[in-house]
Amino acid sequence: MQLKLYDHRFFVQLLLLCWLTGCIDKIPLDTEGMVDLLVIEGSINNQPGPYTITIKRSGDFSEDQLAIPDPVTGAQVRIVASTGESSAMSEIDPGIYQTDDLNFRGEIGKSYHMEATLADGKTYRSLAEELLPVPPIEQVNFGTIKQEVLGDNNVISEEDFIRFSVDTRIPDDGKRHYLKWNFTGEYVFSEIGDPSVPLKPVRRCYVPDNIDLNKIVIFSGGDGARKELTKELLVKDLDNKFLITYCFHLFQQSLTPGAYAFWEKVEALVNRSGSLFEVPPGRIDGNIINPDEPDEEVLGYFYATAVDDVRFFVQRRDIEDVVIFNNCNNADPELLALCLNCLLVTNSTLEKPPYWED
Amino acid sequence: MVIFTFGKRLFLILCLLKAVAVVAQEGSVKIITKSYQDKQIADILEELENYFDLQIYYLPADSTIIKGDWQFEGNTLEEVLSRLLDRTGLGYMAYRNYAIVIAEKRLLQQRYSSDFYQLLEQRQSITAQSIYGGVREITVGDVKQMNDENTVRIAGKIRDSETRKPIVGATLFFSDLGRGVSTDINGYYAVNLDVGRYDLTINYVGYDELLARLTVFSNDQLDLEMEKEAITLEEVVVESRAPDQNVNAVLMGVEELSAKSIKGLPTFLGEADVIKSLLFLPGVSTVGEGASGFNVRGGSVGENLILQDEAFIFNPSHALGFFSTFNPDLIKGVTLFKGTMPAQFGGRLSSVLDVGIRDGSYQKFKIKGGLGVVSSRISLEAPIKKEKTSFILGGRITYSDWLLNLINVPDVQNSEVSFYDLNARISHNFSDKAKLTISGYTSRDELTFADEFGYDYQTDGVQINVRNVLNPRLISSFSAVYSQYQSALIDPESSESFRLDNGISYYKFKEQFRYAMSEHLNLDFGGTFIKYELDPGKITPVGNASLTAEKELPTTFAREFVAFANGEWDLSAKIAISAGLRFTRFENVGPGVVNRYVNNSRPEETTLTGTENIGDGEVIEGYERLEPRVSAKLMLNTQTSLKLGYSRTAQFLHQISNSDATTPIDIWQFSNNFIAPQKADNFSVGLFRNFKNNQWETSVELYYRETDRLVEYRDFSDLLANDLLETELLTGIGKAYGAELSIRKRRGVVNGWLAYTYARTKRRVNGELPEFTISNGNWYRSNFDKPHDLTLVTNFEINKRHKIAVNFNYNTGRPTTAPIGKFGVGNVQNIPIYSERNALRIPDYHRLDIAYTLSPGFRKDRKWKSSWTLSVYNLLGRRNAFAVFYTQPGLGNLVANRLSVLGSAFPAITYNFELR
Repeated sequence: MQLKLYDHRFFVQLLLLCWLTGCIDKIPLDTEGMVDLLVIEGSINNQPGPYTITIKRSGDFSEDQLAIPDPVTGAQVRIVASTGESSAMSEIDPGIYQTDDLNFRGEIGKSYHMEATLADGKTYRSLAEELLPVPPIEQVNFGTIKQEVLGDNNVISEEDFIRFSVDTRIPDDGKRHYLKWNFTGEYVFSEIGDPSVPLKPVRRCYVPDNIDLNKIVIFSGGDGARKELTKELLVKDLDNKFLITYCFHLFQQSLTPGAYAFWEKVEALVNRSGSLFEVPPGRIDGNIINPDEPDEEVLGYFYATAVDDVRFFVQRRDIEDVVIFNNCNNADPELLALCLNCLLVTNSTLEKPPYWED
Repeated sequence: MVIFTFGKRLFLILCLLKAVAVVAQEGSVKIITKSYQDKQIADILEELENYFDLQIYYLPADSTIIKGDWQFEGNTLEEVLSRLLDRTGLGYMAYRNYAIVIAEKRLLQQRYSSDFYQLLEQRQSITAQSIYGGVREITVGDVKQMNDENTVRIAGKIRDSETRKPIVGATLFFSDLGRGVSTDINGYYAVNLDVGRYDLTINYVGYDELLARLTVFSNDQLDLEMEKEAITLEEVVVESRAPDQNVNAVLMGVEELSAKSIKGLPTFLGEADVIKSLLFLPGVSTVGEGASGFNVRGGSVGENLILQDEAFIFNPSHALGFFSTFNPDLIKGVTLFKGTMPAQFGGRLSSVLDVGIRDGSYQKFKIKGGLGVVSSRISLEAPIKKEKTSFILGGRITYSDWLLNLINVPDVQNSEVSFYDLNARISHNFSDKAKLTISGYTSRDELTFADEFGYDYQTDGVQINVRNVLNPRLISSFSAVYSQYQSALIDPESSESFRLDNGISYYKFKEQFRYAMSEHLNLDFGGTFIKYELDPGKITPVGNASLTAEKELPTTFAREFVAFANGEWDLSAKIAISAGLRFTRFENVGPGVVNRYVNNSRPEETTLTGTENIGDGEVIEGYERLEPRVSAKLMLNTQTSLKLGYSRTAQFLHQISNSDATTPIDIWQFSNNFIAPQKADNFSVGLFRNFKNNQWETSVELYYRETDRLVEYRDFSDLLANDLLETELLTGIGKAYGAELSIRKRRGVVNGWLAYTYARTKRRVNGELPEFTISNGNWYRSNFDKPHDLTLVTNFEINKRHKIAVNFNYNTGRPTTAPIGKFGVGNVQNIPIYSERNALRIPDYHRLDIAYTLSPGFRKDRKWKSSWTLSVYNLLGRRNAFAVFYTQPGLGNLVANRLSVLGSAFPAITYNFELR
């Protein structure tokens, strides 16, 4: 396990004083006085549906992070456009609702809101969100960089990382353009020859890489003037996922000022470092309300967005000056099993995606 | 009349002619029931002292070690003494209402020749000096000259021992009488005393306290010389004060620290530090170790007026707050007004920290300095023209990078912390009556953290002070100051690398007169004019590739006109009053650009209608405030006083901060058309009592403060270079209240203090809409609300060479806003739901420090003096939390982290030297 030191604010204290002993340690979480609030979140965009809305209860922060705590089932949910059309939603998994009407598609210039009636009869709705146009992605860039990392045994070493960024052109229309980027990855995982089965062919699997979990990359809209924007998206260690081909799939999304403000606050809370000089945290107001009980605190946001997306491939030859170790060459038994049968890797497939470039 | 002293106690007077045969406690007569077996008379006398709360003076002699059995049943002190002393040849008599003198009966009944008294005097002197080195024994007049009236007039002159110049304003204090006199413009004093023995303390700023034991027989002239303070670097004493100041001063909540006292406290890395020393005083706290600034009685950091002579110091911190910017070698003294501040001070709500810089030596060349773990300092001083003109130059510089290199973290090793400060001062005496000083000051800090970010901040100032004694009753002080504070936050490497600058500068002119209307009434009055210039923010991209756009907020201007008058009036021996009035007109003036919003609506980005250009000198908004200040002292007896205080304070310049600790780039903002001046009403009451000849001081002070128009920030507000700053701010009210209990021992081998403070500070922001409200409009705790605070400061002065200081501090953990749940949206899981503002607390804090100082002794004629101080800060290595924060490592669960800024014991060694 290696710790990458990139959060400067985190180390402002180290800088001066934590020079004899470590100065940050974990203490037990105080779980008294936890709140239990309704959370509704989802979005609509200008790409083909279906669209998803999730309804759940807020969790105790000692719970497992990826589990959706307490899904709220049996709700009647729909998305409504400002022009009147709407689509009802069905519960495909506990607490997860999906639009039924595949012809129902977000359109730039229209506004949308969601409505939900829970099993207990309480109704909730979001404020209307306008689906704003998004400027196109001009170009995805990448480069390799070296960073110093601190290993388990306190040894500092220099390692290679890859950095992705995006170029986009903010239109000169006098309006602010608030943007958000999401991205996913996909890579080729190649088996190694099995000495016990000499003639078995070595296969390649295509494996999704969940790289934007908890990453929030947003742009504050600028000042309404034309601007060539380059935004750093991700710095990722160069591991064996880059041994053959890596596909970086980028989604550039438009946001309303309200949605931007929401994500900005989420970012502020998720990326907290505990620095002396950090802005103290606060509560995040979403755009979901209970019209009958305006004082009820409901969390979450329903937003509308236009999306432009691009797939970008990093081939091994593009980064041939970087040494990448193949973990399969020196694998422990657990990893070795995967190296001999790539279908054991989570969500992997042997089928090459139609968009794939070698 | 017979006057003599016995060995066991400090002093005594026997006025045989007026001997009182009966000891009566005030009120009812106290009795004792107790039996003693095989016990020495001396031991029983000691018990009686405690039981009857009085002092018994006697000469240890054979008869007092006589052992015996005694049985007392409901006996008065008189009866007990008679029986104890029966057959010993000893008698007793009362002295005033708190002492008993035991002596041979023949002494109590007879007159003796002057030879006898002389012999007696010699015996006493030897005894006294062997116990209390440094106290002068002085006989005034001649026994043969004693008159029947019993009243003696002593007059004389107090002079500087080196220059033989008169010292103007030195105080001579007779602790037995609870009163004193000051020297006049020629250094003369005169005082009427009864025949007897007195402890005399003479004080003047910059001089060693002169302690003398006077035996007064008849009219005489008594000239005394005081020696310049030989500042050794480790002593801890509160100085330049009358011995009974605790009880007798009119103002309460005034703390004075000398350079000596500051230098002796065990400090972090052995660096003597003004502000860290203040934190040991009741009512003064900080949000955490290494945080910048200090909080006084529930006020924020920005509510303290910090003065170096007449210049405002906007940021008194080096290295973000681990050290303060005042050079301890150049300090004359430090005064902190926690409660009612006199009318000559103003412009901040909660306190005044007045740091005085001293003149260079008028006699000889001196070098002083210190070598510490992270910084060193040196100062030079010398006469330019002997006894007329002098200079002093002092500087400090840090070399802490080697420390950073010890940290096995690459980014830390690539970081840099550097700071320096430099003071220079030339003083010229035109005559005994007129003096000019010109002082300059600069302080600079540069911090870079790897390639990630940096701070760069600087204070520069120059001031001219002219002091003129217009006539013996009227003294004028004129000062002119120019100073500026500039700070920058630098992001050197990222794709949006930038440098953000802001700053404030001002010209200040002040004229203050002190008029001694009578012996009982002193008046301070005058006026101040200040012109401010404030650069609220300028962003410049760093490097060619930066995506940051250049942005500069327009400079803003303001003017401040102040008139003030404050009188100190001794109405009677028991009642004294200090009362004053301060009037301020504050103007936010053009040129400038003012944002305009939809009429009557709260400033919001959405209600902005445009901007308006304001012409040069045009008043954008003006405010007038009248601030009454009044304090009163009522002496309940010579040892006890009750004090009351009320003051109104107004603040026109606001430090806007939205972080737990203030930062170098926290902006200052004028009161303008959006931000009205803050206002506070401060009430305080205190009971003060000294014991044992002012050796022990105790006090209880209660205070209550109500603040209006407090400036608060909205959740998630972005204050940096924000041209719509007013949209991020909210207005609220505040209250702070507390009790400060303090017991202090001033002198002796073991001295120091124990202070307990209970203090609360709360705020309330209740806007029209939820987004303009904090914590649903309820009262919430300030960042620095720490109810319980206990401080123990102990000095063991084993002798002049060896000293040990031990400090202990405990306080309640400060409030924090903490997660009380989580939720997820889209690809982001585990978004914490935070509590209402400051609803929870971090763990409590406590710390033990120790310091040992080895000095060269105290021979004044030594040319080279040096001392070593070894200290351990946080001896127990307690991991006190500065903050508790929450992180999500990788994709794991939320984790509570405790940040302990100084989480281990920090030893340090400092070498101090002086060449004179």
